[in-house]
Amino acid sequence: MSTATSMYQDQEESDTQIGDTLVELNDLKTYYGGQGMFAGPPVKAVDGVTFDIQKGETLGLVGESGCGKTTLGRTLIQLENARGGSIKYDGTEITELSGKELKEWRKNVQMVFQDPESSLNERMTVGEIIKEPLDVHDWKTPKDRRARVREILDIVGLHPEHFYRYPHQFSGGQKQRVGIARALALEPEFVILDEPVSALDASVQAKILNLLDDLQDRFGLTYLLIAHDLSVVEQITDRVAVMYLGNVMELGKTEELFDDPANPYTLSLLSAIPEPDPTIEKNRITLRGTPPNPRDPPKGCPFTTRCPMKVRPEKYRDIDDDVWEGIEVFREVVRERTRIERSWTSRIKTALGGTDPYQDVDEIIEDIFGHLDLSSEVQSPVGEAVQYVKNGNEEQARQYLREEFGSVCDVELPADKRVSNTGRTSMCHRHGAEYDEPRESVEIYETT
Amino acid sequence: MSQSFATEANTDGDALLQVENLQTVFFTDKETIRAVDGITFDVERGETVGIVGESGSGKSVTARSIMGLIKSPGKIVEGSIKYKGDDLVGNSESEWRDIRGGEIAMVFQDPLSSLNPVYTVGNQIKEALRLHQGLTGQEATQEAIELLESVGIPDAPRRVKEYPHEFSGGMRQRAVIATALACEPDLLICDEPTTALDVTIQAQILDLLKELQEERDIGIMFITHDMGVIAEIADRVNVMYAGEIVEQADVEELYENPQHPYTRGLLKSIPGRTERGEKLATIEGEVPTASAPATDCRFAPRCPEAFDGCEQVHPVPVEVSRNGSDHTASCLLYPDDVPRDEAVEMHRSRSTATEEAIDE
Repeated sequence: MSTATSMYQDQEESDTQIGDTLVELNDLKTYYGGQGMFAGPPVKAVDGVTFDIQKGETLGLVGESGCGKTTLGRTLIQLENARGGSIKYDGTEITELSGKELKEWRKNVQMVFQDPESSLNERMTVGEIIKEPLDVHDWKTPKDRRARVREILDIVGLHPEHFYRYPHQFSGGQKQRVGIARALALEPEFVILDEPVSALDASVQAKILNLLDDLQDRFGLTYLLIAHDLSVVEQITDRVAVMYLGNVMELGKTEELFDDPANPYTLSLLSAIPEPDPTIEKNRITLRGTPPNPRDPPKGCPFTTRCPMKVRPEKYRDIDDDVWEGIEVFREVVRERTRIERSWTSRIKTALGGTDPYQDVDEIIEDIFGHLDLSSEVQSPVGEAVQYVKNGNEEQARQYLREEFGSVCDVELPADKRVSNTGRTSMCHRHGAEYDEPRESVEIYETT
Repeated sequence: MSQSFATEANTDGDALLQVENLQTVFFTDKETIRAVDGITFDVERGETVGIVGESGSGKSVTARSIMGLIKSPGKIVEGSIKYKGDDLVGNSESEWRDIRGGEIAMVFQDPLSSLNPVYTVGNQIKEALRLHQGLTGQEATQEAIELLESVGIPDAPRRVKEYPHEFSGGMRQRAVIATALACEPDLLICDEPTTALDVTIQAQILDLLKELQEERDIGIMFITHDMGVIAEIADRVNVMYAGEIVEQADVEELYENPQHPYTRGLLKSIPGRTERGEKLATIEGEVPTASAPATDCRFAPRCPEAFDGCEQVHPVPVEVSRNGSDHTASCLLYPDDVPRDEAVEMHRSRSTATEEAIDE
């Protein structure tokens, strides 16, 4: 094992493609609900993800909460069932495994969970916790198992006497070490780290990250690191996949992706990290609102509702940025309203000719556009949409707005484009020849 | 400017909040915990004062002490909290109630648990308006809508009737901020307000706080363990360790020129400041729980630069600035322009002097 480890190490450092492919995802989809005759639309947590993980590398998976990164991790080790697509592990299709085969395969892959507080059983001693996977898989003899637990305690930097202690006697960092020890007990090849340090203090975080790094060197592990903290990802991964609303927006070498992000979402996400240096003035892109509901994702590009670099239709290409922003906010409000169900009382009120707060859009229009100078070419379509809303046709207003102000971003899912010669891919219409690149379309970046 | 001992903290009397030698102690059956042990700092109108430290360093207890939320077995045993010149320590419960919300408001870490799930968001804002400003009915609803709009929630007239679970995480924190602002406080205490949020939402909330501060000229006390967030939002920073403030400086000065070994360690352990692929620097050990008044440096067991004196003498704040700004560190290494023995002796005499003063 150690020769294999050092081999990966060398290759990793010599910037070439490392190892062989260990995991291969192809158009993977994980949906929740939506099955059965009366079910509503499903929650598309992972919606068509394709990438490879090489042996011995650390692949980072980043994105905001709710973007599907944890679901992807859970699907990878078959804690969730994929609705479509394939996962190949070392050449074996694992979405079709079941029973004994699945159990046998699971020895190879383990997971470290986010919250050590809730992922360790309070009523078991640390020794029992770490021994449990060995018991489950009937690993060697009971005596060997105990010896193995002591060995692994030492490996993760705990002491033999910790065998008989309970989780509550440990600090956060030590608990996470126990979680790591449990994951490593069966000598897996592939470990999924689901936010392993996000519940810890900075200085403890650093220790756990260093430990994970050592363990990888020592045992030749392959990691999938799921995290929302970008600085952690930057520090310890080889490649990064940036996820948004169930899609991988950009995937490439960590260094390159952080230095020269290609996708508008990556750009926005990186620019939101607070710099631990007060002298740097960043011209930050602050994204508006929150990601859309995965039950009702936008048609076209998943990022279209918040994208600061969205392609505008020809007709409105030159209007003022603030007005454009206002239009986007208005569309957001209308979209939100189509989502909510109107109560019966409010419907009856409308039927009886009373005023219904849901129809009161004038105030919103005033709020959004009041301080702006609207040209007539913007005013009339907005007015028309307002009329639809007043008549209770939010859906129609939404469609109308999409037709009027929408562009290629609103109707077509962009394809993955190679954006560098190291094979980095990004999903954005702006990579097409007819538009400016995302980076050029908005002024960013730091001035000191 | 040559280094000299810091004189008593700035007591001009015009600061919005002045905390002096505050000591909050929890008396449990097992032990006495000195959660906050003699801290002194102030917050001016229109400025943001950051408090950073690891968990267990006493940041949140500081905030709760200022809000009058310390309940038995905890007690403020020493020191004063002057707000607009009046000492809040020793206030009766009803006096506290007027201050809380009306004058000083607080935003907590987890927006979901600081909102009541069975009332609409509007209802909760209106409650604050009724208690502190006597507004009711239509008037209060209108005001609540305006508050939601001012914190950047679109479609506020509809949102005001929704329940917290219908809001997203970022929007909930905005609603909490709206509630906090309902009574036009002059001081806002933010206890890790962005820790539970995504970076993109965190950026929105930080922008919002800056905007509100500019608009309303409020003082903000911002508690966090994230050095990146502090760099972004604070004007001045207090670094806390085991109940004490170990370093105090303007934000630029602190990041450029950290003096206390603990601050240096904290800054080094941030992933973003280390070269990619390099090992992260760590601080060995963990924050101790202070149970007795300090007679030594509490950081000494973890300090890479500790020497014998550190276990015998309790360091006092020393002026360490090189450019004349207020910058103090409580460490025996300073002042570093005199021989070390002499420096240690100065610390010893100063710390016994303060102890005697307290005894009297």
